[in-house]
Amino acid sequence: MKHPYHIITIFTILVIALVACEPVEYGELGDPFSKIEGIEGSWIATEIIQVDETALAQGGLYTEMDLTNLFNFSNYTITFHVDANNAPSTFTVASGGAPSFIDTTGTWTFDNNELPAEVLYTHPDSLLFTSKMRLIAPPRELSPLRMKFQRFSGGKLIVSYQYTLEKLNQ
Amino acid sequence: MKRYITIPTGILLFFFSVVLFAGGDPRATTAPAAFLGNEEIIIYLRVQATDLEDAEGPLYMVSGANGGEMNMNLEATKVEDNVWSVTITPDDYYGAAVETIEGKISDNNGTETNAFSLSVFDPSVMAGVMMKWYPATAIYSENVSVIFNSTMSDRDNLTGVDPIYMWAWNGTDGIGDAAFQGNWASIDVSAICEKIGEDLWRKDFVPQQYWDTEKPMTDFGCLFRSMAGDAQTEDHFIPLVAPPVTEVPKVIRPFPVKFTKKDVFTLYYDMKLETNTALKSVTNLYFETSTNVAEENNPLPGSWIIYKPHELDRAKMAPLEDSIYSIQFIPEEFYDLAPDYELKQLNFIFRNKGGLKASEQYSIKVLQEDPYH
Repeated sequence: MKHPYHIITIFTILVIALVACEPVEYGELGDPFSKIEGIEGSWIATEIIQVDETALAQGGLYTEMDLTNLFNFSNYTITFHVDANNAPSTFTVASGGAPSFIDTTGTWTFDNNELPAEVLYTHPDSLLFTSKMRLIAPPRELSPLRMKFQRFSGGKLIVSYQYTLEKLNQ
Repeated sequence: MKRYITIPTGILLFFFSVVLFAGGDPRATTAPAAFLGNEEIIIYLRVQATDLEDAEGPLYMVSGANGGEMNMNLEATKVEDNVWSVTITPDDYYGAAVETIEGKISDNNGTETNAFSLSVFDPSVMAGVMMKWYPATAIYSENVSVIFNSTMSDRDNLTGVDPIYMWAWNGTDGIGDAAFQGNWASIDVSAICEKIGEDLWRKDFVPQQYWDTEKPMTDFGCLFRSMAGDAQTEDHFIPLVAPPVTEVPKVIRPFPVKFTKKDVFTLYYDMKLETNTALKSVTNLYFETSTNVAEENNPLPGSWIIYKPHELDRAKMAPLEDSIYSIQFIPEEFYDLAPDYELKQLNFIFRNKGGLKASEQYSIKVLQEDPYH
């Protein structure tokens, strides 16, 4: 009576082994998410934090201030346009009465389209970059856009403004 | 009996007067941090929280060596706000083999700080020791010297290896390898240590500069190695701290500490520290303000009787808690400045509405923004 069980067990193992040896087809890796597509569109500020970089570097007690509900910062909107080839083209800032530390209109580009660290802005009257913001995190679909404006004096970073923006009409 | 009472009282009064005129403790640091008496060094004189804080200068280092009289006077160069420096070769400057330097900082008006003291590095402390760092409490934004005795390597034999390189990294704060040291297989010359004795090496650097970062740093890892990397020590970690907080309560405090005319600026006024006691009874506090040295851009010039109440609102301080008031504005907009106006300082006088009770004038420096950076 033991023999039939042995045969069944061996047969089952063989079947499993044969199935396991079949090549498994994996889906192909898609193109990496385009950072340009990730930033395209209109964004509205949901948080603005002013950072005292001097105090931060010196270990000071007071290093940050939340400006979100001050100076109309919560109205601040920026729109990034792309051209027909999905390349960076123009941008517009609708500050809604808030200060804008960058140009309010012109063209934009990344410093590196694949691994962007900065958004570079050029005023319409200039051939060179005129202002910029550093990306705190790479632009991602369905994620807030986080970038900061940095103010320098005498070659030293003194103040920065960290923007968190949500996409409009997402 | 009376005489016995008078003498100790006089001593007490003298002691008390000395305490009253003490000018605060400066911090003196050096580059390199662990220095020899016969090499050129930079002494950084940090006067924050002393009577010479925010001094425009000139300032002087008044110093002596080896516990002797402080009779050497050397004008310091301003490095940045509240940091001044002098450059000397100690043995040459003091005309002796220097072991210690004692000094204080003074200005032309006789204001001076308390004394500071510096010690020359003594190589004999490395006998039987592989590694030490100076200062023992290393600060990420100031010079740190790591001293390595290659005869005491805790892994491979590095005795006689010349030069010695330091391989350094930061994992705790995610900053990564030191910025300019190259890679393990091709280490850069900037990682070479300085030979300060037989089999004795020094690596001196400012951590934030060495890692090319502005982030605060908790520590760094390092090992010493040959150029080829075929001999090395074990990994070692050196803790780092922030510069000591020397903020002392003041009547006014700007946020941020340094700003331009385009920045959001917040000024805090602590009425508890106001020296004009008459002002302490004021409940509605106002401020007069102007820009630069003259009475420029005063938004409410002359007597305030001529202004309507709503016009005075812009000069009213917002009460916070604990007798602290604040104002907040963007200078360029608040003073309606022309685009090319060079704003150098803001002036404030705190007062009641009528102006009969008023503080002294306080001024705050404004920086100029760099062009596209």
